Amino acid sequence: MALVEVKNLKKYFVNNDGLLYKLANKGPIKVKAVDDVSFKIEKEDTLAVVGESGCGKTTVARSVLRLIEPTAGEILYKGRSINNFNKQELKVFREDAQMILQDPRSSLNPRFIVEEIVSEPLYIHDQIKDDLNLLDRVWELLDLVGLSKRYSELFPHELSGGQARRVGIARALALQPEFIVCDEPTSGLDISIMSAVLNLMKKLQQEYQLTYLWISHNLHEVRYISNKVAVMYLGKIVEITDTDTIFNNSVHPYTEALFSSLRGINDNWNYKEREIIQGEVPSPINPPPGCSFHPRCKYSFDKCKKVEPELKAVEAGHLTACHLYN
Amino acid sequence: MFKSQKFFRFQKKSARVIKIMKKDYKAYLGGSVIMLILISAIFAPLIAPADPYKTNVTKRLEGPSLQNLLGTDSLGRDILSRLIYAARPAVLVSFGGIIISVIIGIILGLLAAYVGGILESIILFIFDVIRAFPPIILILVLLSIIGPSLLSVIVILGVTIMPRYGRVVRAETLSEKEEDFVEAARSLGADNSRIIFKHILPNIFASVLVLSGMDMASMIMWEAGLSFLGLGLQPPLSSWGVMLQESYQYIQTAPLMILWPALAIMLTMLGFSTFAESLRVALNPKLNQEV
Amino acid sequence: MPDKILKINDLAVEYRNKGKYLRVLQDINLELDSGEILALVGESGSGKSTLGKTILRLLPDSARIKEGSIFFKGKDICNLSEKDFNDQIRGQEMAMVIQNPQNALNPVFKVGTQILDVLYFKSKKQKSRKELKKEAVEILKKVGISDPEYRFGEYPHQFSGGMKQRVMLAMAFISNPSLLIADEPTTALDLTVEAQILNLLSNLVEEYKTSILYISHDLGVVAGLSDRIAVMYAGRIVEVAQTRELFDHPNHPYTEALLKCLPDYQKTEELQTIPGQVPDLDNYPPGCNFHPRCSYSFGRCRQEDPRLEEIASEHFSACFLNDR
Repeated sequence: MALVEVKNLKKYFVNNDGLLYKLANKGPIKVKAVDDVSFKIEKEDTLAVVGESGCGKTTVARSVLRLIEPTAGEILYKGRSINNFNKQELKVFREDAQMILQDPRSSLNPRFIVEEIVSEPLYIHDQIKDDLNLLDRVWELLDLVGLSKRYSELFPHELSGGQARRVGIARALALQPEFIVCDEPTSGLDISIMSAVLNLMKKLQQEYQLTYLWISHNLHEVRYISNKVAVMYLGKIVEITDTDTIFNNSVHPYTEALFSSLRGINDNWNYKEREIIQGEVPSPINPPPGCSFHPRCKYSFDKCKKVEPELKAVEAGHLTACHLYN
Repeated sequence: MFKSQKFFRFQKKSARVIKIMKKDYKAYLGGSVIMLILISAIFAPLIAPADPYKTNVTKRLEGPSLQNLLGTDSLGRDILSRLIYAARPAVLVSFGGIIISVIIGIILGLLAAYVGGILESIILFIFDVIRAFPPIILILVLLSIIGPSLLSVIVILGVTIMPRYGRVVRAETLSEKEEDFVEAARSLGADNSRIIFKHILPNIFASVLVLSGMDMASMIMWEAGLSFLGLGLQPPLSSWGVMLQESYQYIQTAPLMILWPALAIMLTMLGFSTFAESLRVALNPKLNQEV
Repeated sequence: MPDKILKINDLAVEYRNKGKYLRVLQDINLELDSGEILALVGESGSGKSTLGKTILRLLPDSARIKEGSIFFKGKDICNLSEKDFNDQIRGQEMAMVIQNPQNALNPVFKVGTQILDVLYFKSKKQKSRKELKKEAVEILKKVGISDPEYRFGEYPHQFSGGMKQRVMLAMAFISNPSLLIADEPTTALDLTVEAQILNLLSNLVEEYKTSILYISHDLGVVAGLSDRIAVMYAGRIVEVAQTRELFDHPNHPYTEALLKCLPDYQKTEELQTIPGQVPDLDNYPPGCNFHPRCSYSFGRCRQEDPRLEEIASEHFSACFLNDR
């Protein structure tokens, strides 16, 4: 049984505010942030969700933890649907599933010292029997993420970006979770700090058998950290498979385009001579009919403009939503 | 209870705030003014050199002398003693009024921001109704209905100023609610009360504090104004406003007399607002890089 | 040397902070050929943006040039008056593209109007705006904005981030500058859009023969764009080399460590990390700024400042290991 299973998740944001809009009788604006997304994450796996801004990857991350209520669909955690959890069950679930937010510093309360930040989950879940031993536990957690004891008395603004990120990770580890959603945990960090954070996350995963849902737009780091990759485009998964396969044998034209924009330092090539995919991601308010990628796709044919492709297997464990393969 | 890590943390944090304020001249300035007023209010009978109500018609409108340090008023009463006794209503009105408006404002503002929907509309409507009237007219109408007394002045001033706090609290709560650290707390399983009291309130308190520092002073001004119109404290009870009103009639013959209550009001305003400013800075860890 | 468009000699820049002067840049020596793309890479706090601002004389009032000189086309621009610099060089001979295109365009004016303004001043107010409109539309077309006539009348918020950056490039190239300073122009953009913009930039450079000082923290981007790379650390340039040479044979320990900890999709070995942190401005270590984090450091590193020296043809490095 998969640890986390997402079935046909949909999240539409509806905006029907404004008198003028109602008068003009245009009907509500519907933004399909996530449209029919399904995937499974096995225990101790890392599924990376990649895509460009506006593709709905952050919405998926927040829905999986029920920080926002989905419009439709089901999320199963250890086989139980979290959508129907009552308050008590939800609280128990939140002990098991943690989140690391994108911005390292703003995810920490500016008026808390690190000690309070790291111990907050312990207070919330009544795991403190005698709070005189609390500091030991906090130091232990800080040690785990490579920070010394003295950091426990600092305020977030006194930390560097990398240190703040580590504090965020320590907080996520406090309840000994099984599942962590990481929403672009390395964005905005310098290279040397980024590599330290990646190494740390990998080490923690091995040590504590953690399962990650890793949201990212940095394909280099995805290669390093994940073993499964889902590529999203305009609220849909267009391709999902093993990391190795996606880097070597990707099939969907969008994946191909995305990965061809990816360059390492050893590629002998330059931007002048390259063929580059043109156009930009269309607005999710008014997505193109049929396959939403067809206006930018060099392989598109008639069917793509009319029929929406379904996510189907091209081989075992490799799914894609493209008419070329069905 | 007193031997928990929570308590140590509180101790450490407050020690830090005090340490910062000790370096700030504003804290001393504001603090000493507030102390002066509080001491005068509490120990008025012990400090005042004379009986503030004892009239002496032979010594009317005298200037400062050794006997009457600040001179005497139209009924020959000692001005210094009257000033000291008048600190009592000043403290009551300013603290009382602010406490009422801050408490009601925070409750309504939080409710509006957190519950939303119809409740929010109703609360905002109440704020707008109160703010739609010019405050002086609202206060006058309410006072003439309830009748002038110290308590009614406090309550009415509190209610009149309250929408300012409600609005600020609501606006700040709405923006804090979207902050990443609030989302982080929610993902950890924190319930609404924890989020409100631990995460939102401490972060919006600074704005409330600054506003109340300024308003405390204006409360005294309002009380003075109302007394001046004869709607606040009634003579012979002394308040700075009453004293202003009395001395106003003698501004030609004894111009110094009006100076003393005016100075007291000004000093108090200055004291409250500088202290609030200093406290705001000390409470915000971001504004104190090095401690 | 007529070929050098930009020549920086021993430049040092200081910031005033609470009565003290803090060195942000030190011993900067840099040359830029015409038509060359030089990438300036470094982590945050390395001073790379400050260097860009110094060249364009956009430093805040609290900063001053302590010593050194900047020659632009053989002219010492440090000694030029602000008025002359503004009239002759900034926006004419030198242009800048910044990281956030959102903030660079005025939201209350139409995009076309803003381009027209630049054209109008370039024509020294000789031509009317009507005459210039055709030229402006032409420029929009050139930077790859589809349906330029329609787009001309739209406001910045109707443009996507990528299109705004295209407009910024268009405006920068109007005056046909000899030097363009690009401060992380693609950091805020998506991967595919970034590739488009860099492709456009490469083509513009070829067409206009402009030199570019490209400031970035992304080595992957720089690899496909630049001719040479200068690596900065804590206010100093530690290594300058041709792009391929730098990646294949890094000399300075910092460059080497940086390359080892860069996540790269082709890399199979484990990522390494650099121990310690970038030193604070007010707390630079004595000697080489990198020595506390350097695994090769020895006695001399703690006492003397290493200077950039040529270790191979066109390959400069500031490290005492080369003297051993």
